[in-house]
Amino acid sequence: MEKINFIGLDINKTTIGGLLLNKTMLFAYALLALAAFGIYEIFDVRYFSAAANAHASGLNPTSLELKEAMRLAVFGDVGEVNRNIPWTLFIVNYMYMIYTGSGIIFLVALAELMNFHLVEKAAAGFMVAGIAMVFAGLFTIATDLNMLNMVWMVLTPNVGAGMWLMLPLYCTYIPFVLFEIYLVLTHKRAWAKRLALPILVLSIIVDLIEYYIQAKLFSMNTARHLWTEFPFLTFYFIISAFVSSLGVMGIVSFLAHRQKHEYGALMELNRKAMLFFVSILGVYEIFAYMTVDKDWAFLILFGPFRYVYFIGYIFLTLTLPFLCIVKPRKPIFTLIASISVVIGGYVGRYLFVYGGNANPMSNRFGVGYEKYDFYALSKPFNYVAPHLGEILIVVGSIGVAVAIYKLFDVFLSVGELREHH
Amino acid sequence: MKVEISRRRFLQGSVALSIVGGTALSQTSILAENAKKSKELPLLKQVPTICEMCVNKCAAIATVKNGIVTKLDPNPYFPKSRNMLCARGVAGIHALYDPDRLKYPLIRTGQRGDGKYRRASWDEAYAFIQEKLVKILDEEKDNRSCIGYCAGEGLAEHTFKTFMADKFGSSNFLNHSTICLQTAVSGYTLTIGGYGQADLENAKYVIMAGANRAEAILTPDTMDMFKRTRGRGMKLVVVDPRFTNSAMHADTYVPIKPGTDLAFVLALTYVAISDQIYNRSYVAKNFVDFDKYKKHIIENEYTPEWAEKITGIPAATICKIAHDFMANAPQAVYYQGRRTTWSKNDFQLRRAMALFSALGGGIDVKGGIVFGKKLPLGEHTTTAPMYAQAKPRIDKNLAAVVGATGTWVGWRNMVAEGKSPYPIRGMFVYKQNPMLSVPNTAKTRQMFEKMDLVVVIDTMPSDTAMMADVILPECTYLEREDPVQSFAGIEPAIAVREKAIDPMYETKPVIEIMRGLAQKLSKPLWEITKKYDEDVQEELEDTDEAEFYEENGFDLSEPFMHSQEETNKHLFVEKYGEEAWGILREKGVFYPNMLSYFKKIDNNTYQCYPKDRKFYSVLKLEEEYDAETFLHDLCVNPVDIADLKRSFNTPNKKVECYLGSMESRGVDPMPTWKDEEFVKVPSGQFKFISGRHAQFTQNSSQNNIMLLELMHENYIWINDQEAKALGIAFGDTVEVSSRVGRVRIKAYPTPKIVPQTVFYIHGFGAKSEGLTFAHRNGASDNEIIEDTIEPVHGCANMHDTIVSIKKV
Amino acid sequence: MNYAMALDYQNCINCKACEVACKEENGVQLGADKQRIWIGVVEGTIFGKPFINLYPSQCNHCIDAPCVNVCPTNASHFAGGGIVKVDAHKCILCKGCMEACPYDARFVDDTMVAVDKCTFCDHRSLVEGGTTACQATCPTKVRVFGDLDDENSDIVKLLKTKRFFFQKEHTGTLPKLFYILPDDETYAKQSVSHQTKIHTWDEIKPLYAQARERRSKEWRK
Repeated sequence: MEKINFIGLDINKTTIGGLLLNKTMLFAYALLALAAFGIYEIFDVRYFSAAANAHASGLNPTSLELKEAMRLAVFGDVGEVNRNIPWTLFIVNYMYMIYTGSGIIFLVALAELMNFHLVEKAAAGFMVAGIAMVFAGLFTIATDLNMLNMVWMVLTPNVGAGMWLMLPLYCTYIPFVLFEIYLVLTHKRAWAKRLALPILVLSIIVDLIEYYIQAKLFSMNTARHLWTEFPFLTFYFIISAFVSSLGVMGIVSFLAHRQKHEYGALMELNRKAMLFFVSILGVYEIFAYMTVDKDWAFLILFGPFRYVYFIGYIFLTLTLPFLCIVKPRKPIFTLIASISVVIGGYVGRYLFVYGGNANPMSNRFGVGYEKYDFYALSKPFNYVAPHLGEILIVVGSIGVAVAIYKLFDVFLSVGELREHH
Repeated sequence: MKVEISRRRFLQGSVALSIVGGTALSQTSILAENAKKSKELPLLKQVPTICEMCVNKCAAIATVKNGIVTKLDPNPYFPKSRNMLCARGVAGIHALYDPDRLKYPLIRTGQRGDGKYRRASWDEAYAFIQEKLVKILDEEKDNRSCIGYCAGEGLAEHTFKTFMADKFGSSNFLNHSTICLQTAVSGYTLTIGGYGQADLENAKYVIMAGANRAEAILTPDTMDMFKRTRGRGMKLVVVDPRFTNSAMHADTYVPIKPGTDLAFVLALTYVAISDQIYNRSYVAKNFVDFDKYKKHIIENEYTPEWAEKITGIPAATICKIAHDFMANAPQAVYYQGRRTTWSKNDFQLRRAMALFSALGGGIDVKGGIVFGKKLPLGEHTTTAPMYAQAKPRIDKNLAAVVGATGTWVGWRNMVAEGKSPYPIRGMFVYKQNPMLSVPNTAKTRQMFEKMDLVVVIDTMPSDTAMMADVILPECTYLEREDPVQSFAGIEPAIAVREKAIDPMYETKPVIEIMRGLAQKLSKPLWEITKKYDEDVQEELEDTDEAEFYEENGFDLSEPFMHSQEETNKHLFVEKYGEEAWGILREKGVFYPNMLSYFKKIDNNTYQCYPKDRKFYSVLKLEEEYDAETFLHDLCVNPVDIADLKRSFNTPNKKVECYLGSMESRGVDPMPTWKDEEFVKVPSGQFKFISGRHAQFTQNSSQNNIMLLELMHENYIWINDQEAKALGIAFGDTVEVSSRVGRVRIKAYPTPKIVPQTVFYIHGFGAKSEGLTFAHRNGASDNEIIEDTIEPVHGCANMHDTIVSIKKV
Repeated sequence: MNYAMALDYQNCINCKACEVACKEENGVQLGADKQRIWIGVVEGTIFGKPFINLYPSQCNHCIDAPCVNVCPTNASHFAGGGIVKVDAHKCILCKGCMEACPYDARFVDDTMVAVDKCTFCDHRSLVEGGTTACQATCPTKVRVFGDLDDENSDIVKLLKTKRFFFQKEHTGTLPKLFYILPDDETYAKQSVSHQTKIHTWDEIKPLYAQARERRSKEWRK
């Protein structure tokens, strides 16, 4: 393929068709179309909901739209956000995509530090996959927030808030990672070599800070004891992210490298790493719930969430993968384990967010849960299923990741194994 | 308004003239004043008004911004409402701006009941009524009583009544009393001379049976009592088949089988008498026929053990309550209750309650039941014409004492079943919704279907409006000035409702509706009278027609020609003067010395009358006493005040134990328990009872979206054990069927109701499609309540219905 | 100025006048869920006998409000007197404040696309003789709004004579909704749990004054 040389990178010359209409991109478009529909749904409900307030009828008593809005307010469904479950599937997806994506990048950095040359060879592809997932996560969050008022993040910031720290974090993190990828891809090997170690060390520091800030986002929520009392939340996020990251790396290896002779060794390395982290996660899961507030722990372990927890999470993230990878076997087993942890990891994030909201705030005195209505049942458990719009956006975010990876791949052939340094 | 002339029946022949009151202002100037709407709306004003979301009439202040009412706040000057406004009061704005409000007159185009109407102008509507009315009266030979009329309670009810009763001349009037508290009022009045006010600010022991002041808010009772329960001065005993929000505050909650209250009270009386714990000196001085009553109670053996079998209340509890009551008397009250008649023996029950209360000496004494004082107002008189052809009301023989307000169920059944002595051709309905408020809705529908002219004056397209030929839209209470009212009580006051904004759409206040209708009808109806009324024909032989017409009140519009504000001024200034009028207009409230008595203590406490200026003991004392100082001296022990011999407002001037006058009409002269009167519940079925929640006023608030937000439909209460046995869970739809109808409603299994009893609140289940929010929302109780009546006044028995429940 | 509210909750009859007054006064969004203030009901039976406990609830305007701590744009902030308010035009709907609040006080107002909550009616309560809409309308006068810094205010006078407690004190947010403990022992026991700590004004005053010193720099004028 013809290449154009630009700032030390070999950029592939390609046609518009080749860039935008290849099979992978078409697949991504399908998913993005779903996301677009989801965005339409969500925005419709968020910005154009038929909502009425108490002063409206004085201003316009004969309006039929207002009458319908009032009827829906009392007898129907209005609005996007449920008071009891403010953080929903969006946050789950954001957590998964960003933590897993960052995890990949973190793991690659660790691998380089420990001189796993095989990983260094495939670093470009992995890191692009990682950053693509980060973008997918940020895309999800962008649809969840009311972006119209984002300017105030800059004008009147609250620098102590975990939520605000996301802004400087990703404003730094993304360019930094892109620079790291550049270093991997660049011709200028001598220069890259000199920067390699400092960048590596910085990378690990930045990653640790990132996970710390993510944990802060959850642990600042005084009311939700699942998050505030989970032991060493930063550490938990890192470990659980690594498990899923290794899963993604296994799948990426399968898709990009299965024809290459390094495939077996790569998968074997993946297997060992995954075995290590799955074991730590297993130990963690056993001890974590002993310290968490029993109200939440019970809901997850013995309450309405128990099937999702044991089958969706423990089985898929710990048991099945462990069985597949405990002994060195053919790469297909590592692949099965990878797919399993990718799904199971998602369920884990889902349990974390929905579980944190499941214990209603209405339990005030230990004399029972409150109800707000004469004719109502007081509920010891909060759960609201995700809307269609949310699900579509989440599915569509995969399309974002796929599209970004493919764009990088088309231009920079990141799927190839390179000699590093 | 005082009517100077007495009804036709009581005079033979000659016409008595009356005093025509009011200043003679020319017609044109009044109309011009009303027609002139000020172009400049002040940016912000605070208008004193009186709430009409329920019967309490709390004084409120409406904040009006740019011609829109934005908030209703309490008016602290009004003693009765204790500076508060309940949920419904504040939600009055959403009654004003209700999107479903009637906006213009409507004339029926479809079949009666199918809700098809066309818009008409006021003139068209009046013309329609005139045409039909003339035809009907012609056919009925000027029998004015062939048109019935009914009114709901309100400050303007009297205006409507003046037209229909005094001017139009029909004797078939119905109002809410026989589907409400007639027996309670009558029971207490005939026994102790008045219904009275329970002094819950000072009472030390209160038995509240079936009254639910936490949810059926009554001013000032609700405000006073719940600050004193839970050991803060008032011991509260709640006797109720349901654990209501009032029971939640009670020191003792006594579950009781519905319909057995009389047995409970008779047993309490038995204990008081047999244990000799009643106030003997009080009884000796202030009771008449007590020996008869004592003998009656003892000989009938109304013991606590006997009552236990009937009521389900342990005998020991009954004894204790009687003893505690008497220990705290005279500051002990058996609370009168203010609700619908429960069963056949309701009148006797209320009499027994009054007698028991009186046995403690707590009548006309602080901390007991007091009569208070009423501030006088001037009188506006009108001339009522005499209609020789107008027949007496059709239902007067349906019960022992059928008063001027009739018996709703009895009257309606006569018409529906075709048993009326003369045809009832039509009905005028003001501010009432009989389709939802009278038991056995099917029969009410039948009644309307038999009529040729139904006119409904209302603010909302209710189920009853959907049965009308002509619907006339009245404006809400925030858009009109109503007759100034004097509120009697321990702290009496006068209050006025001022107009906050001009009437919206094409609505009018009832005074203007009556004026317009009367102007249209006067002459044509006069022609009918001339045609058939022989007395009038005779008179006209000697007198000038125009003169006779004017002087004898045949000009039907005469009482409505002045604006309400002018009438109010005239009534008020006559007694209190111009300066006081200014205070009344500014503050919305007035009572003598208000400006010096009224003090703000903090944001939660206001003093309207100083302690020593309140009116507790008001009855004329028969002993030599300086009543003025003695009764107002705070140091005097209420027990000493109780002991004084006084003159009650009863025929014998004493507490009446034995009503001889009732005996001749077939009513028990003393409260007696009759087993055969008690409706037993067959196994597997339930007794249905009804009641209220604090967020709704019967059915008038059923379309108020702000209130529906708080509770959007009614649920049926069923004992949780029984529900479990029937496999009914929370929220399941069940079908409730009685002998007269069936409904579907969601279930609310709860331990808060006694077994074999079910309950749901009144006021839901409207069928009118004009009510967007209320349409088929929940279930109506009167669809299933059987239409039996009690024998004294013909009041509807609301709690004698047996129902079956099944899950659907 | 340090605004707070005391609740003599034993008077409450659950008539919901306060809920409606709040909505009408502040133009709050319609909807059963969209309550700035509400009456929490806890019902049950003790040995077969039913009981009902009522807890008028709303935003506690905590001195150490977690909702203010987590808001990225400072939309959630302290106004004068320590009243916690939301600047709707700055809200990015991150919903962090809703997650952080232990009292379920916040909800999303769809007409403003921002988070909404009780504001202690500061447009009418801060003037001389003024008070919140809920206090003004209450039939049984459950509520007392006032300034904790003013020794002569109704609220301080009340708190000096009564014992009181807070909801969820263990979350450490220093809430300013004072629930007045009923004098009657039986009812008091029935309406609080074993873990609830009972306080007096002498105990709480220094604690709150200290915390107030620490946070009042953030209080906008």
